[in-house]
Amino acid sequence: MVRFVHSADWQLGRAPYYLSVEARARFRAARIEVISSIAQLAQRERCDFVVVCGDVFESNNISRQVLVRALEKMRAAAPLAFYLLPGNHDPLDASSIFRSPTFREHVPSNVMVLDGSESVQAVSGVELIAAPWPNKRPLADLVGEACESLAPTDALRVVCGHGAVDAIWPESSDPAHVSLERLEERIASGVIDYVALGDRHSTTDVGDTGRVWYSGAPEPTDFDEIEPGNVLVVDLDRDGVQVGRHRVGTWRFEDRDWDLGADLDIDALRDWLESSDNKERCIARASLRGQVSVAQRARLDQMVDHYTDLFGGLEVRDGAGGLAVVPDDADLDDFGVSGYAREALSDLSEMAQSGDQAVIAQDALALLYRLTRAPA
Amino acid sequence: MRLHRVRLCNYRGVADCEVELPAQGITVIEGPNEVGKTSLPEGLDLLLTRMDSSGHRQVKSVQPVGRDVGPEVEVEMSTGEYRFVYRKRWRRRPETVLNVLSPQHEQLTGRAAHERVEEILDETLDRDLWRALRIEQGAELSLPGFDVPSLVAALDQAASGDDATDEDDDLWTRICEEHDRYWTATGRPRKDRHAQQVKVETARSRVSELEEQLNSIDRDATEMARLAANRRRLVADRDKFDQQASELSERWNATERVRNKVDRLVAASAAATLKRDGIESEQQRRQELIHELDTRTDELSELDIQAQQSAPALAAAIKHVEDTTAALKAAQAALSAAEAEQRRADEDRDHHRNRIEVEQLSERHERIAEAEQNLQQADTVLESVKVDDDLLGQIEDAHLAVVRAEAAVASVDTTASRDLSIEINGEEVVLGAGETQHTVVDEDVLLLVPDTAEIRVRAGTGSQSLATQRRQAQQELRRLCAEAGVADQAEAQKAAEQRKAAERQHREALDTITRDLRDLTVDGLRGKIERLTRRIDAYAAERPEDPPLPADLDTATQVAAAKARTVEEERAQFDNGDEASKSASSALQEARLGESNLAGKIEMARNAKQQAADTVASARSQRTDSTIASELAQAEENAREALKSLEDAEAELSAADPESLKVRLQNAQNAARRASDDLQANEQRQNELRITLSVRGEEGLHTRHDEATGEFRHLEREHQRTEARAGAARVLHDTFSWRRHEARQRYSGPFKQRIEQLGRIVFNPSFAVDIDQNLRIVSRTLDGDTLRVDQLSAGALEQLAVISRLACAAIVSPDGGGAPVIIDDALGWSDPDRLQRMGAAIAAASEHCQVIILTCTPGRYAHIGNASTVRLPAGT
Repeated sequence: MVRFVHSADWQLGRAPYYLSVEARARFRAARIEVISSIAQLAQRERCDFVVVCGDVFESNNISRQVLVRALEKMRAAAPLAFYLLPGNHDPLDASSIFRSPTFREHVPSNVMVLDGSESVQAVSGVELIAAPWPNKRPLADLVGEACESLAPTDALRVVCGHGAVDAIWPESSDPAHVSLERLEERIASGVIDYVALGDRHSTTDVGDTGRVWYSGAPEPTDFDEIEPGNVLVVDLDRDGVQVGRHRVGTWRFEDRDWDLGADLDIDALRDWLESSDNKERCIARASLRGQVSVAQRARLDQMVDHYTDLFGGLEVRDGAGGLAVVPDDADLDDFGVSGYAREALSDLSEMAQSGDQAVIAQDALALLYRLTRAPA
Repeated sequence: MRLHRVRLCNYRGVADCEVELPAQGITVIEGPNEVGKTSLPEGLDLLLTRMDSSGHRQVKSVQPVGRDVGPEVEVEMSTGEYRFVYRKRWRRRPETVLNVLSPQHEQLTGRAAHERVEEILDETLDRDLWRALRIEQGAELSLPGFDVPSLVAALDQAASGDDATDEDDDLWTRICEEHDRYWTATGRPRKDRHAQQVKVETARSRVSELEEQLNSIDRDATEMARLAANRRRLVADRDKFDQQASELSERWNATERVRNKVDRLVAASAAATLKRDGIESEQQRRQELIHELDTRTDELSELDIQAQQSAPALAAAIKHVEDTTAALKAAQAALSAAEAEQRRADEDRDHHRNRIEVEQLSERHERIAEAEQNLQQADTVLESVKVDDDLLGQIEDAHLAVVRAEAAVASVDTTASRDLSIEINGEEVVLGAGETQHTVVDEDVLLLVPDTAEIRVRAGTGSQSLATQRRQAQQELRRLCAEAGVADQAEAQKAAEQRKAAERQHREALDTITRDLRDLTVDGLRGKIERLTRRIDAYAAERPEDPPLPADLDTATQVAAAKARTVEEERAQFDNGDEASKSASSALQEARLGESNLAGKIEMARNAKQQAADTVASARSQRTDSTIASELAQAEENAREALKSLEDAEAELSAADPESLKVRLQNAQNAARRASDDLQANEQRQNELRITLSVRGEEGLHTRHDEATGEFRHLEREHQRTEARAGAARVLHDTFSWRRHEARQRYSGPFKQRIEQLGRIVFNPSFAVDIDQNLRIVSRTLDGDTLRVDQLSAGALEQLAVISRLACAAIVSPDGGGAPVIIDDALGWSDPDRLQRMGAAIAAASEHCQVIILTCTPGRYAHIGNASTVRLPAGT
């Protein structure tokens, strides 16, 4: 029996551009830190090795600092072996980071690149069959091809691949899609025993064999991922396979639509933001729609300012239909102005209702609201 | 705000001065200069603004000169709900004391007192109004804008009934400040916004640049993949072409061997042909030698025949030469004799011709001698006779003049009827019978016939001049006759004719000489005659008698001609003979030459024949004719065989198609070389790209791109926010500005009305003003005449300045609000009538406010009916 960690899509060096400089640095650092978490898990679980199935790096052109820090983290986990597979983000082309001088100079002995040139014996009786990406746009099912000519063997075979499985994206006609049927046929015929896949950031058990898995990304990368932040610990022997999910990710992406109208709605939004744990490692997005008064808008603005400072990232955007600011009578009284100022306020309120100038008039009202409340 | 009491102590030149002021109405403070009148408002300012510890020059300047005391100001005032007494002393023992009297009693000192007053004033006093309502002595005349919070609030309230608040003005200020953060005064975006935009664009460019660099890496990586595929193909190509070239090269070598064989057979065939040709040509030479011998033999036979035939002809030629030579000699003798006779005949003819010429020359010589004599004679005459045609003409003219003069003068002709002697003017004149004596009467003439009569003929009065003319004519005639050497005109005519004859003779003599001399001189002519004479004489002496000399020239000429013809005939005869002789000689020479040639030819032919015979014999001694014939037959057989072998080999070579093979071989070699070159270029490019990618891959471009994108998005977001804020600020500002303007338009009405109310008191009922939105008077209309304020006189301007302040104060001051109007000795420019009216206006306004007038001219404000007057004593 063999036990190993199946991971993928580390995408080291990734940092969403919409984050602040400070948050980007932390986000990037977290993806490196997670290597230590994986190593600790592997050691704790007495795993024999770790396979990282593609997109180890965000790109072949990430900064040297990220590369050497990541290698250093793996070196620190020695003798635990890391097998790294080039994926679509870091293909094994002429610009490959795995062939860069820095990589070659600093790669520790416990780190191996699965370049697909030959099968690798990870531990005795366990053979790794790799399907690395040779470039960014392959025109064939690389994983299928890697398994095609394999003959039955006594060893346990772990196929390390990267890419979309046709069963999950059936509508796509990409020739590089991995054929699940083909893999299952090879599994059924006993030629391969486990398929460790990367590319999909959500942890996914593909098909019905229980032997084809996406580990998901150990740290999330975007809002649309269903269950990121995991690695898999795989127990494999002739009789079967056991796959266990282990959470290692520290960052979260939270996304929610909000229909605002009453103060209660704004309270709910505030509660949602407020109740979030580890806000500094949370990237939140609120899509707002509905209609608010000038005072509510001012409150919203104030809230957003506050939580923007608290969260790793906070984006408040107009949802479908947008958020309209419509001054009500209470608003107008709330401004506490009289004479010509009151007349001007009425003008702006009217402009804010509709027309080309509505948005700018709403902004002007918000500004006026702020000015009327600014300390002297 | 109201002032109740002001006191100055040790302030400039003022030792102690206190003034009480009524809370409402007008207080005129009168006093001479230097009693502290103007110091009152100044002291008030110091008190309200400078702390007692202040070292400000304004404080220093009020220090009394030469006294060790501190200047001190105390005021009692009320503002808003507060009434307090406030005192400060600076410089010496500084002190601040505040005593608030109401609404709640407070007593404070020092900084606390100062700050408390500041607080009270901030709360209750419109400081802008406080400054606006003062007219300071000596300050430049101006019409301030009354855009001060109190007036605006008051007017707003009057206009709308609402309580216009300080907050509204504060809000407007904030709106303006917000607007000004983004927009310039001219409505353009501020520089920092533009700079922000530039930053966004720069960041965007940076992102594009990095994107391009990343794309470039992608392209290079793709190219590397292509190059790798190319490399595989090129290696295969190179190997394939190398293989092809190798195979073709082997075939080419085989072909080369066939070609060498062909070359050898070509040489062998050529050798066989050459040998055959050699024997063939030897045989031909042998035939030629035999033919040569035959030819020589024939030639010799023919020459021998010719020699036999040519001997009689030579003898005939010799005979012919002898005959013609004899004939020629005879002809020559005859010719010589004829020529001798011809010479004699010619000499005879010349002899006669010389004799005739001597005669002619002698005649010419004689004529010349005669002509020379005539010439001499003529020249003698010409020398002696001077009368030529010209002189003769002059003499004839003079004679005619004399005749005419004499005809003009009266004359007396005395004709004797018998011989008689008469006396004319005392001169005896003897006349025969019938003879007439002509006497000219140019003066009285006395004609005395002795014993008979005495006749006196008197000349007339004109006779004198006529007599003079006659004399002059006579004198001229005489002079000319004397010049000509003649006595009178008749003699002159004769002389002239003589001269003409001599001239003719001269010309004729010269003509004769010229004609007869021709081209000779006289001596030459004479010499020629002598020479010819000698020759004639010599010929006559030398000539033999026979034949006799012809009688004359004609005969001699005829003889000479006859002899000449004889000579011509003899010469023709001789020439014929000569020709015949030469021809005969030539024929003989030719015959002899032919003979000689023939002999030579025979000799040569004989030798040639012998040589040919020797050559043939020699050749045959080496190889007989039959040997040659058999060798030739063998050689021809050999050559045919060699040619056959060659043709076979050439056919083999041709079948191998060496040209095509060569082309294919070269093509295969070139293709292999090109594949090799391409492979090398491919590898070079791979190396270049490998290096490029290796270097670029280390630059962390993706991370830098992410960072640059983050930076760009951040800047872009900031810029969008700024622009949105700028837009909002502008909309807010513009909306407020418009509404504010509208409101100003509305509420400036009461202010305008109040000013016009006061102004009509001062000017007349037609007085009106225009006010801008800053509540500043911009023009004044009087009697329909509108002037801008800058066109107004100093007096009118000063009056408007006072009126506008009074109007403002009147509006804001009821109920203790506003501030006092302080007028420091204004209206100096106003005339008494206007001053009087101003007094009424000030009085009217002061019903609603506190007015304090400081003056050193007591009468100036005497027209203000309800004023309280405080007189400051001198030396206070």
